[in-house]
Amino acid sequence: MPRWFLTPILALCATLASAQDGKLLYEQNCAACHLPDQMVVGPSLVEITKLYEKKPKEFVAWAVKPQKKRNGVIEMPSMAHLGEANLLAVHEYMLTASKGLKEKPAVTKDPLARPARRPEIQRMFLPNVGPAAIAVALPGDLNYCFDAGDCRLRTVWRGNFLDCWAYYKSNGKAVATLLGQSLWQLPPDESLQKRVKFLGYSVDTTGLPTFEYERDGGQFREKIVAEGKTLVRRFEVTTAKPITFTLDDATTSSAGIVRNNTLTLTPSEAKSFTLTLRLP
Amino acid sequence: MITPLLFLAATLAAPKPTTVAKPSVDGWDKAFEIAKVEVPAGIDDQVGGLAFLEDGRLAVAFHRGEVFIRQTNGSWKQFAEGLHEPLGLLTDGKGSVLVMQRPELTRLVDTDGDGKADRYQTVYDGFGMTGNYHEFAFGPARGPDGALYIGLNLASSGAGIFKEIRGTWSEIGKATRENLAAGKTGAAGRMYGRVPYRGCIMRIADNGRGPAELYATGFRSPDGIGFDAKGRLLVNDNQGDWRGSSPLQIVTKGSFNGHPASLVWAPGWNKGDPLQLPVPELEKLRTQPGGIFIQSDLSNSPTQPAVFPATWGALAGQVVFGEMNAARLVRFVGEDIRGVHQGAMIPFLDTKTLRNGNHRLAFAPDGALHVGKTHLSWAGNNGIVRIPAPQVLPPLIESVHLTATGFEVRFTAAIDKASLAPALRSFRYKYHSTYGSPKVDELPLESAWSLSADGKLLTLPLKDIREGFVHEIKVAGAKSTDGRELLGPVAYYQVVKR
Repeated sequence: MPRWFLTPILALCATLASAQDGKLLYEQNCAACHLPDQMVVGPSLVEITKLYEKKPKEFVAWAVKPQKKRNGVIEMPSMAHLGEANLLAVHEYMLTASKGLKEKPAVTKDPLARPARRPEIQRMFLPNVGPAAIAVALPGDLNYCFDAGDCRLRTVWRGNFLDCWAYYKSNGKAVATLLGQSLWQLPPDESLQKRVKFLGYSVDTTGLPTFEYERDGGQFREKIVAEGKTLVRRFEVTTAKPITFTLDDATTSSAGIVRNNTLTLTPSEAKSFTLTLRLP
Repeated sequence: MITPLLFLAATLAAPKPTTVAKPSVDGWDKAFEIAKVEVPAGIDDQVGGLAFLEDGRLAVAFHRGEVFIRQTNGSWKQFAEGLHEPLGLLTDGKGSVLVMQRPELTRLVDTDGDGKADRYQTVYDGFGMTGNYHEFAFGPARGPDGALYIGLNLASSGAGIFKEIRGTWSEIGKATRENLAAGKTGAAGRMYGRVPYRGCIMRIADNGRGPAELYATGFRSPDGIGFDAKGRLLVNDNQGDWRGSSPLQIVTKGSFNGHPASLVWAPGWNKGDPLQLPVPELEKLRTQPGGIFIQSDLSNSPTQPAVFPATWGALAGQVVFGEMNAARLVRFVGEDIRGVHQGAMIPFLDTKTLRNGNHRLAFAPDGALHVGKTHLSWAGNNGIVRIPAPQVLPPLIESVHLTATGFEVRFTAAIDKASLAPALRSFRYKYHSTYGSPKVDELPLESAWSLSADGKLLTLPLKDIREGFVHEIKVAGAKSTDGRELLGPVAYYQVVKR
């Protein structure tokens, strides 16, 4: 047998043997984060092939000592324990598995998108508020965010409710987009957290929530409804001491005394009152 | 001509990968029926929580915050909605369900009996949140003491934090809050916990109505939290930094379970940044895992434990865990040795038919195992499958028992001695800040084994049983005396005490 005959067979055999184990090694060590044709936690096999098709050594070097390269993507753990031969087998398999595939375009639209049910309540990561936020779509076209961290109305916007696709399609590494026009917003005040305790909410037969919380020892119930171009916050507070609110220019109270933007209500006034927020 | 040449060529030229366990698929599909359960239409059917109510109906919490209950006629009725990433669900008596969502443990109550929750009561939200995606919250599990137990994840350096957070920021740690809020995570450690009780197990007394207390520290991502048949709290964790391979911790009050970041929340902690402590010091503080989910060979991301009911015969009282990454479940068979609970991990339902993403497990009143799946953009799946208790168990490793002189392996069926060829070795994993670990200090083991007359008890005398090591017992190729394949022919016993 001529010697030239042996070489391609050797090469072929090597390919077959390693590709077999490469598949299993890929499934056991890589598949959690690397899919064939789309980016999930890490880049796809299609993209890895583009980067490393003719560079098995560089592939192994990377897998042994990965670095943080992409913004918003976690650094890959080292695969040094697999050893060079196994990593070469994985490299080989990745090239095979991505053959003929094209990177799937990212799904940019929520396949389950629907208009908000009004009212509708959705807890979600929202922009410019604390992480324990509650979004509510009211009948009409107004929406608000109640922050369960500081127990305050934080954001009001007009329009369609939320686009949570960036969150839903991932592991939560995203904040939902408020759809429509921002109308009103309160800045953060983390010092309030020590004065409040969130107790939850009840939902009435129409689906509207009433938030319940403690603030400065008082028991608060707050229901928020839309009336024309205003948001009316109906309070029922059980308290032994007077309660205070810092009012912004757009808010008026049905009871109490306002001095230097501070509204004070006696325990008796606090039993039932409303704050009305005028919106543009 | 070609065959020997191919053989020679492969021998000469192929890289020599280390032995990798081939998934065993034969036989499981004959012995067990795995059927899809229809899920509610028009939803993202990634399952965060799943449990059978006292009246036997199945309640399921889904990725986008809905809770549905399957009615006796098989239709689904929505019970609640709007929750933030529910990752655990527990029954709570008539008309009430407990759900762990990102920001809080919540009691959902149907006060007017119309089949829909109308009160979303905050049971416990006294832990911090930075807005980091990895701060998942798991549980609750109800202890024999009537208290609820939850697990709180650390944040991941895969992302930073929100500008506005909940809870008091801890100044202990190299990364500044400002840098983390700007997405600069470099100095944070691979996983970090800078707001209260991240990385901890919390206990809330009196079914959630009593005070909350820090119960144990040392976790990274404790997805699986539950109690075994004897009331021990089992919590697993995911391979990663300080987790050479995913551990099963038998959690006791005040224990430190290995991942240092949460030590800052331990009462009276005064040793500064725990991530900077020397490893030997941490090693002294930590509780050893009672079992180890072997990375790649068994489980890369273990999930919820469930206890086999009486309908599962010889497996009754044992624990089964889900696994995200592979199409398989894992059984844990534990025992007390000199006051320490430890034991063996054994592959279960190791068949592609099961598919991966096995996240939440519950047994129906008729004994059928229900598995809810998720992926959250990692490896995984969606939907629910149902596996009825088999009439007769196939040949399985029933239990592994550590004796003064070695191991005893019990089988569910008489094994043909001629088919037995036990292969044994021990190894361990490194305890270090690096992500994962190779198997190290490996030692092949020899045993003059014997099989009992009834073929059901394999005795493995061993000289070298090492504390702190996994002891792998492989009986690949074993068959029952009536010719059936032994399913799941490997056990990994973690010897803490011998």
